[in-house]
Amino acid sequence: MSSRAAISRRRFLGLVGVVAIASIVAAWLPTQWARRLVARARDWYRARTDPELPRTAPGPLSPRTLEVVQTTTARLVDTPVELSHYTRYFEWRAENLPGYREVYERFAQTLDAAAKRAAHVGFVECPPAVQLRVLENTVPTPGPVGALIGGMFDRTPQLFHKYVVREILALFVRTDAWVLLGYEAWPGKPRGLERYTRPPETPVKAS
Amino acid sequence: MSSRTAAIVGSGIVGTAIAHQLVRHGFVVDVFEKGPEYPYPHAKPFNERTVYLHEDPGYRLPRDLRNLTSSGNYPSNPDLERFMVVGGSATRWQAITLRMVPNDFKTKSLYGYGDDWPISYGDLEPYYCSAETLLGVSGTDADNPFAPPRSRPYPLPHFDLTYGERMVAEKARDAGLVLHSTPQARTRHRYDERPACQNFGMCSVCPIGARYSPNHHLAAAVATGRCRVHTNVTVRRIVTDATGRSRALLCQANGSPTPTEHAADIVVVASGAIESVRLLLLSADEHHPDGLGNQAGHVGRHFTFHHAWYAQLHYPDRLYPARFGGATGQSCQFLDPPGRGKHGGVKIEFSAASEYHRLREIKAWGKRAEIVEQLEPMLHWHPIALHAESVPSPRKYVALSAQRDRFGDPFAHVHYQSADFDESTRLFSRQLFDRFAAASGADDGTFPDAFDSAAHHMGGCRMGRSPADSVVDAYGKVHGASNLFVVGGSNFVGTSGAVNPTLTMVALALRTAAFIIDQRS
Repeated sequence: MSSRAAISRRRFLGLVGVVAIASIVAAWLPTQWARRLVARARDWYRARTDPELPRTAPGPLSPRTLEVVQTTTARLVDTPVELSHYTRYFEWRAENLPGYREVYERFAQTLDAAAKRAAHVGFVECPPAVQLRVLENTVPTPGPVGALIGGMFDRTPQLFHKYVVREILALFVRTDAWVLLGYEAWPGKPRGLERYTRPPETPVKAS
Repeated sequence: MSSRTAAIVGSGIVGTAIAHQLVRHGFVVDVFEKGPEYPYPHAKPFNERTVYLHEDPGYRLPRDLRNLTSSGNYPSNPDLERFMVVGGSATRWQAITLRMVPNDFKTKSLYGYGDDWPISYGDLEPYYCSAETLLGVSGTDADNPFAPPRSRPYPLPHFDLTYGERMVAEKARDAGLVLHSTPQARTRHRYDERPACQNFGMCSVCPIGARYSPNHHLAAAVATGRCRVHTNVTVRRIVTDATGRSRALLCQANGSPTPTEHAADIVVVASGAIESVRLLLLSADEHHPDGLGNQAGHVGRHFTFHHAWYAQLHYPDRLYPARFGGATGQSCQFLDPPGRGKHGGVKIEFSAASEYHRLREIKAWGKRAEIVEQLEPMLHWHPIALHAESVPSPRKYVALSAQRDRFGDPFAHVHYQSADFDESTRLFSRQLFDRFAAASGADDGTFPDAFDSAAHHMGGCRMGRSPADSVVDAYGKVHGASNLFVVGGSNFVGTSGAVNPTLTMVALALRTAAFIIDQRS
């Protein structure tokens, strides 16, 4: 009796050990698999929704392309702004960083073609309302699902969105938006050493 | 070889200050910089960052030349806090140039923590003056009752508080809290061939040289014809002779397959706290099996960061932060507070040098009003940093890593685990934050859990009276080596005080330079 009980206890302990190890492995493996699966899904999603710049040589922009991206800027920020720093931005990126020149040129050609279909004139020559409509149709702001679906078929709109639209907005937020908020100038412009000690002269209207 | 040649490892603010002084006194100086050239004045990198929203990867050394490994509870990567280019990290700094207070030099005897320095505030005070003159510091102590004594006025007048800071300062004053202007190496007027500050903003990179950059004096040193700067060259070893004297540097151009020796009569290591430790350890030889200056095992120890908490306060009024690019409103009221010893001293930084707010995705075209609406809260939020001292501990050190660079030399390994004292200081900082918020009329605020080093790396080659307790003497001379100096933040003894370390580093550098010049003349 006692011998059978001892064997049974040993077996029992062995079984407990096996079950414990199996449980740990069973709990661990799916976690690892799930993690890998999530990571792969994330990479797959990014690859389809986060386009990279083409590896083409930098170079100067054509005057027409510059006009189109300037007009795009004006429509995007929808308020009278000094465009010179946007122009410098486009020119510098096109001339110094691989891929930008091609993206800007393709962007301009795409908008011109869409504008001709819509209004029989180039993008720059369209009335502002038509320009806005062309932009909305050509470079729609993608949601997460829309980006994925778009990315599986044609990633050009995403390329335009990431490297043209979002960058114009980023520059606007760092520059003209400050003036609209009531600042006398944005960081990066010399502002002197007196005015910052006083309240702004044109405080923001929005609240 | 002339007896007046010097080789300096590192072209940052410390190496440059020494090179500039030695050249002026007839020395021939070679400065070795692992990183690339960095255009000065910094208009090009300024425009890249500010106008073109681009960081040139050419200014960044590849990982196989500049990496480190780390462990402990410091949440950031210390490697990313170093800028390895000609001019070093002081090509991109806020230029706050406060002096440590006298009691910072004797925390052990006064408060029972850290260690006393082998020099006093009085010993360093003349060099603080010289450092302020060299860097062109604009400041005043008239509004700062907590400033340490000084024998000479600031070279330049101070920068006023901003409109928002003044509003807050007036309220805080009624509650007994003092917010004052901040001394900074930024020219209020034209000074030493540098133009007056024009307040460009984004001033961690100054396009015109109004904010001090070591490149200013490095160029002046090179112009004498007695100083050469070797860029993209890694110093791998300090070569010593049988007597223990430093004979040469073993250097290797970053793209070269073979090293060369550069002989020098005097060797100065000024490559930041982490890389200075690494070079001394890498230079182990048969006479120094544990590395140079490491007779008692102090190389790499007594290493500290500042502990900074970057918080935010919200005010009902619009403060319009970031209208001045430098740093103005700060409080030195708690550098040496009652209760020091239970916790460390803390500096309050209530300055908003530049604030960019991340914009949520714009949902449709032509929504300018939506953008402005999203940004409007930034007018009410104001950054506030609690900038605290910390203490050395056996769990804060720099050693050699198991990972190696492209030449096969081990990188540095930084282990940093906060001490109980640091936690007490964090709690004290949190109390100050709450007190300041209440006193200044804030109606909301955020205080982070994680601390930041503020890119202030200190200790590792601390100064002391003997090899038994330190790596270098009070002049930065390595114990047991008559012609080898290690200078800069690495010399900090045991505590750093709560002020930004750069002015103290430059003062120490000028003191070392004066010592070398005196010895050799």
